[in-house]
Amino acid sequence: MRNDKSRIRDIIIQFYADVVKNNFASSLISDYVFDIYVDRNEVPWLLDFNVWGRWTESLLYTWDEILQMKENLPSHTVLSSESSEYNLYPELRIVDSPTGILSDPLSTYRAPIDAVDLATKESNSFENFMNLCKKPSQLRYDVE
Amino acid sequence: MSLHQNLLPENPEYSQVMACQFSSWYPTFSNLKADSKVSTTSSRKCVTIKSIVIKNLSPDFVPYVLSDGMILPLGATKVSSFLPQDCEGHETWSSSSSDSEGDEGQKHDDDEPDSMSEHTTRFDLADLTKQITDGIASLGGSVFPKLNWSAPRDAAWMNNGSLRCETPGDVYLLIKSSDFCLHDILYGTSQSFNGSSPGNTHVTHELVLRQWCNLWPSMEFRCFVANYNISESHPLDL
Repeated sequence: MRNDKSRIRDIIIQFYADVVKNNFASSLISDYVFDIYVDRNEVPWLLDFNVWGRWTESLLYTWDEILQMKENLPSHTVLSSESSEYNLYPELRIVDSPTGILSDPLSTYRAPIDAVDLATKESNSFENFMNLCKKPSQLRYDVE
Repeated sequence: MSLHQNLLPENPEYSQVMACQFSSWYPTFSNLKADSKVSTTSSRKCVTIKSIVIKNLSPDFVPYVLSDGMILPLGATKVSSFLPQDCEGHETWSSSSSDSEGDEGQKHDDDEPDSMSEHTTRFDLADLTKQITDGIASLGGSVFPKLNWSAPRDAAWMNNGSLRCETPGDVYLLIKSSDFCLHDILYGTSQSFNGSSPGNTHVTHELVLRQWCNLWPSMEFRCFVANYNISESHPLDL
């Protein structure tokens, strides 16, 4: 896993230096986010570009950490493999424990299981659901 | 939380947003091949996934996406490619009574009184539907859709948990169900930008079809570039 990690990191750095850096937005934009895919032959594929900032999900990092790293970076130079910072940046963060991932950012976009039940179960299930909904409001009415 | 958060701008810069628009970067990177001196890329035809950008969207496209309900445009036959074959030929989402996924939106539509459906406008996006059909065919039969910036990842549950589209109906279903895509649609008119932006910040909406690839989510990496330096990267899979 450690070897894989270092190899993937090299592939990404190489791809950035060769392909992305001098071509994205004619090098007019200094801060951005891009997504790449490394296939089974260890060939990198460019997937997408995203805007630098909280509109882009920062996933395993918090934007705080990213900004901290940005501050620590030497500016306007590409790190070469000879430089002392090469081993520090970029950092490749991967999840190597099953509990490393705590939440799915897309989970809030799912539908409640009740909705699926309503649509798939026997025909009177919606009626039953509406009866359930009535009860709380009736309760409130009784209290008043 | 900390001081660093304040360093993030309140609004994105116009130039950044425009540069990240699909049609801004794709032509550059789809043409990168022989002229690249790099060993890893020189032998490759392309460094990114083959895609088609449909501009000049029909004037009805945005009203269609913004309209209530989940009704496919006229002529977008076959509701969804993961439905059984015998559903083919049904034109509307609500007419597919054998829908196996049992989406609640559809059933609610069915439950509406008839008078409601009479007032519902059926959009006719025949030209776009044809462009999507041709696009899907030229990209090998299946695609994943996105708009200027966003893919309808939040709507994948509508399409059997995947963004894979084989028919125009799949594409419409995903785009219309997605909040991410809705954000793209509304961007041009309501977004404010940091820094200088030209007076006219009108955004031309575009529909992008990208060739479908079975990607391992664990091998997708998000890379953050700060001051022209790549600062860190990690898998997109969460």
